[in-house]
Amino acid sequence: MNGKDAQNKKVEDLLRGAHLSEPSPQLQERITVEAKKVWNEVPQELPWLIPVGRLVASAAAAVLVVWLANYSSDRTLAQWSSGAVHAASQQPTDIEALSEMPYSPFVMRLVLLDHRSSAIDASVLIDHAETLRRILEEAPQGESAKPPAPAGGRSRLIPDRQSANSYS
Amino acid sequence: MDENLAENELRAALADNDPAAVELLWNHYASDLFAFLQVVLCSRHDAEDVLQTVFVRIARKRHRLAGARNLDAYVYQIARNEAFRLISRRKKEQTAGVESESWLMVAESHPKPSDLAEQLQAALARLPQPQREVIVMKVYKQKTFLDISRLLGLPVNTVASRYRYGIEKLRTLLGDFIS
Repeated sequence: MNGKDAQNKKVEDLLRGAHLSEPSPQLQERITVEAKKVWNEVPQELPWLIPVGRLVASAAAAVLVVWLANYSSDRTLAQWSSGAVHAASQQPTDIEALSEMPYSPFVMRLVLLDHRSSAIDASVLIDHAETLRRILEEAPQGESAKPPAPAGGRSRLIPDRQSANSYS
Repeated sequence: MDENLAENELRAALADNDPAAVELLWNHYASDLFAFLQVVLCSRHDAEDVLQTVFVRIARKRHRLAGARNLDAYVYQIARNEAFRLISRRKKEQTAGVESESWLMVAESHPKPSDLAEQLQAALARLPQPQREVIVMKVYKQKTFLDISRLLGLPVNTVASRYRYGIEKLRTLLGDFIS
């Protein structure tokens, strides 16, 4: 280890025995003249201009990112727009054919409502629900809609005593 | 203390946008940078060209130098960048520098000065770039490891190990002269 260190010391001494040349006065003249020329030609940049420039660049990058995100989102959701839904849900409905059906006025109103509310909109849905509620309220509540009341106010499923005796 | 005074004077000239700063820069850095560039580029002519490029760049971007926390490190970084740019351009163009150019001198008192200079140049040229940088600063500019670490922006231990590896490699390459 000591021998190695001694040899390394020799290498250092050998290197120190040599030297590198210094820049000549001609080189100094050439370089300083050129540097001063550039110094005088190029105006000094204002120190505050650098952070302002960085800020502007950051803002521009942020705007670009937001615009790209919006554009991408619009493109992706284009197929789900109201027009497309309307076209997809539109089915040929022969309203006249419905006149042959029972409850035709009621069904026709529903069909017409359905046509009007094809666009997905909260207010339209609320109106739709409100209208349906009103229609259901207005619907005739005749006897046919109600089950017939049992005779004597009792259920027909429970046999009375008289008929029960007749079986025996 | 003189170093600090010179640096303060230089900073003041840079802040005032005074062209006299060029002279101050020359007095402060030219000698060290020229030695550094000669060893990094293994060419005196290339070192002259790159030194000029470094000073012109500093003059153009002087506002940045004025705002730099560590002037020395900033200037050395410019010098390194310019040197590497030239090296990579040479590699791309596959052109070599001036062959057999002497950039290291040995005192005439030595028995075979030209032989030694040639061998030393060849051995230094075979060292990896980082080791060469450290050796030139330590041996030829008498800088401490701490100074070198500050200039190159490296940990002191890295600088010391690069120096040790470089010297060991030179020991192998210069075996004939040592024994």
